[in-house]
Amino acid sequence: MKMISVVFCCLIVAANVALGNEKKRTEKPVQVIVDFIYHNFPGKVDLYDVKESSQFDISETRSVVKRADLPVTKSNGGKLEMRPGQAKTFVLVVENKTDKDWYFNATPHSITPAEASVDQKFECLCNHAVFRADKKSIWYRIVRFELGKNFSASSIRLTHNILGIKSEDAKEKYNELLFDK
Amino acid sequence: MNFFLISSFLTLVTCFAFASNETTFNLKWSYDKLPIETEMFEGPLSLASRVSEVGEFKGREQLPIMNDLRTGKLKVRPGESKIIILVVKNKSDKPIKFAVAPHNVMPIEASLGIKFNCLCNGHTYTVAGKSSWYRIMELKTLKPVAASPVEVTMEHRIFSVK
Repeated sequence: MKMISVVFCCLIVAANVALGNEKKRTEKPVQVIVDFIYHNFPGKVDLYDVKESSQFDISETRSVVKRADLPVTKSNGGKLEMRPGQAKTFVLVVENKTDKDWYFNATPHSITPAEASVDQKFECLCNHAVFRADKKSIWYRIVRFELGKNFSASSIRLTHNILGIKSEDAKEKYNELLFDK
Repeated sequence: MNFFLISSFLTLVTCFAFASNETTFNLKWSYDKLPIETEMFEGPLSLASRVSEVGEFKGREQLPIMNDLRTGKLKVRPGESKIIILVVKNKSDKPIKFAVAPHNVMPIEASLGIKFNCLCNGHTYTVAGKSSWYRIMELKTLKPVAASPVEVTMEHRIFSVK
């Protein structure tokens, strides 16, 4: 009788584990939105998937003249689908077609809903630096977003404010904050 | 005598000009219906090496507290660092696991040049039932930036985590 009870219990445990695994597999992906609000900035930030075949580093920040030199594939529009435990690398791109350099800073990002701020990590661009998007060039920065295994929200929106900075202020007032000066 | 009066006047003018460069930081904490209370204290810069430290808060004698920040307001000069001790008091009998959403800064432009080594980094914390918990934080302003805004509001939202 004891033997039968033990076997029965084991079966129940095994079934629960299997159901749990199945549940995890069928869980809906997390909707990730990365967006930007602009303040006195003439450009915009576009998001692209990274070209996996290229040699790149997270936080790599450069300007290129030709679009073909960007380490990107297609635009993802700032919308990603991810699962807990997954990380994605993508590229922020600012195209400056004008004759003047643009200077900007990204304020620390906000997260909506607030509860989604647990168990995630965004290696982004809000590091107190003042960036320069060179004239007639395309600026990019490679970033990485990671959801922890225990991330529990169904969606997360990561919003940065992009502050345009006057050229003279960037060179004088904020000189010590210039990225890679 | 005249020299004394003139030099005193100049000192006062200098002090006034220096003080007028101060930014008042208004540090706010919201926590909806969580059974907690928050308190803030200013600590000495000697605590800089202990920034990010957390632990059970057993009383004021435990840490070298300088001032109570009852109003949540703190004046900071350009290029200055301030040590802030946050205390979270759990009024319930049960432990509360919580996290803090990234802080909002108003006006937005003021965030350029402010470094707040606070606690909104995606981590979770636990305060035991009927106990208090503390974290040592550091607020830094960079020289070129802090002079501009007169008042900056930084708000954190604390929420419970299962």
